[in-house]
Amino acid sequence: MECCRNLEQIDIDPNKNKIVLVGNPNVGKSIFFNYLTDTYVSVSNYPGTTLDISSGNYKDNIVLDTPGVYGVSSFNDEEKVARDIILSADIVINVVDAVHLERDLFLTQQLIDMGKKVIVALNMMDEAKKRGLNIDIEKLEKELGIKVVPTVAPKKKGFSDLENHIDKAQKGQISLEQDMEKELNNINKSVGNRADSLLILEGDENVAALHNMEPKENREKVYMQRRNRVNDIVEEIITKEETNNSIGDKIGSLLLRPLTGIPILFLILYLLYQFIGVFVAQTLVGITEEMIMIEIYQPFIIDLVSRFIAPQSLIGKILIGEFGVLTMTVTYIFGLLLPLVAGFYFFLSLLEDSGYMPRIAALVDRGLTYLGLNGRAIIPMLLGFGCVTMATVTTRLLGSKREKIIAIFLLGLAIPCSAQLGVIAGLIAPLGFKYFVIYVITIFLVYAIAGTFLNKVLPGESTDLLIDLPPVRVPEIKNIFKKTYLKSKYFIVEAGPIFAGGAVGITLLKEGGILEWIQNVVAPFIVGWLKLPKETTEAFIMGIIRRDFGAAGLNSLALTNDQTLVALIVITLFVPCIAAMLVMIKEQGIKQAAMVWLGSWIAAFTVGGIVALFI
Amino acid sequence: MECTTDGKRICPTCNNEIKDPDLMKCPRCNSLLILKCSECKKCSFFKKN
Repeated sequence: MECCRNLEQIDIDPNKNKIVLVGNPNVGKSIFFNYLTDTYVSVSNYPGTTLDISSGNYKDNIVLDTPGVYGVSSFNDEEKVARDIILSADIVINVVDAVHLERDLFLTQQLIDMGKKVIVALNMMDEAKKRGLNIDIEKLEKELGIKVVPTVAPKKKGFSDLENHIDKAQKGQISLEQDMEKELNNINKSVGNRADSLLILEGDENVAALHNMEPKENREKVYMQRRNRVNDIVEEIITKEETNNSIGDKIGSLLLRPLTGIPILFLILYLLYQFIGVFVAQTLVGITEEMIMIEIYQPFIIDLVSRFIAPQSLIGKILIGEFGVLTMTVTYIFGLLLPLVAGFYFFLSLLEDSGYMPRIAALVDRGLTYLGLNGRAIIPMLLGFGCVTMATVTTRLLGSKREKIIAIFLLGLAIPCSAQLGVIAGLIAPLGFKYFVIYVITIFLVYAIAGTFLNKVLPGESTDLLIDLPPVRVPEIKNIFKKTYLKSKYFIVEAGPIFAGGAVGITLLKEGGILEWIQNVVAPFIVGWLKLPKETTEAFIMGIIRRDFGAAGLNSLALTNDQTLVALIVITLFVPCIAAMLVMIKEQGIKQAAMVWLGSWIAAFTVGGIVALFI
Repeated sequence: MECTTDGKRICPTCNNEIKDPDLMKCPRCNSLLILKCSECKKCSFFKKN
């Protein structure tokens, strides 16, 4: 019973000691993991990025990283995973944020109460010093009864000291008062494991079930005893000096005030447009798509394949035809979409690692309450501009089911992903400012009306925004490039097969005459209502597979300025891609996912038709 | 839609359920607690209790 609830999912040598990294969200655990194992894990400034379990070797030990948690319990999936790994740990390295000791020491004390051998890495000591917090490390060690090593993770300060003391991790001072300690000992008589017994005492149903016991109802009592103990410790060990605000604090304050924060936000969005829409979508893609893929790669691959397969055969058309897997798909993915996606993730990583994202959340909080959301929803919304699939997963951050429904619907309806956004920016920029403004206003209105409508019809109201504001800091460029690389790689792996499958499907539809039949059937609608050429149907069919695929399909059509605008509005509001739909089904169930899908069809073609009528 | 929260107060930061109506901070994560539950406009935790 000592170990292994979820751990069988990871390939771990059972003979090795398990060193487990534990800490609250956003305390820098991943940097310690990278240092000890020399393996990269994503590092971000907003809570909740280390969602997977990472493991690696350190000397003769296994090091396991855990999702950030506030305590050991079973309130959600991340906590359950963290709990099981912690229960299996031989040694716990508890990474603690020196700036938020009152918050973080609760987990430390709980680990000690579990009877685990713990060593504390007291991280962000530089930030604490900047804020005038003097922490008496010796007194803290004495109060907790364990070794505390001050560290500054980005500079690897204190890391070698931490390494020297890992083997000396020890059991510390228990916080439970006599009544609860007695109750714990009673449970332990039948369980035989202090850590499990404590969680049963705290009402953990899963751990109780493992021991065929009923969970006890002492959570609040134990938590209060622990909280009181932590507050006493913090009061004992911290003294605060008056400090002048640092440059980071001053910038952080400017970013939060509406008078300065909103113009800065618009400036950032403008820079994003210039970077993605102008530099990447036009200059860079001009080189990768036109010069490299169309002028060099395509003639080469067509010539190569033609030597073995007749171009006019079905296989030839599937491989190197108009929608060929080796021609169009490869060109779209590597020549067009990859530079756009990488460019977007580069910019987004800069915003994440500088600590700007939570400040945008605070800034837009009031506006988002009109849509039934709070400022926290800006995180999935901004991530949606990278990848709607990934953003749908992060709606878990939101406070209520109601907010998740609204956010997922808005993501599916009106947020174009980076690949799609890049193509859209590339197509709309040459049309001129007027078309750009009409496009932005239309999409914004649809977004606002849909959110306001859902806010009215769904019972309840938005929750209050309570979010940690990390310090404003200069991002580490190495980390930015690594994040961009990993996310771009994920895009290729995720989108590549779907693109290829979609391209084969379109070729087969075309060769079987079905594509033409569909075009003729929907022609009155496409031509009559949207005022677009019937060939646009091909792009829309491609858009069912992935919206960016559809948007890319518009690239090769000869459209007037008005037609381009209508087609772009329709494809922006179009149904979410297959991957995003699968995640929506997983998160919200098939009924709500189907409603989003149907709602997107209706919204896309209704709005597209209305715009076509008036321009 | 009926309220299904049974008047429970859940910490918005760490999901800890708070039973003591007088607590203004979550004992687990030390976050400030909101005064009403997240799902329903009408039912205040304090009114229900």
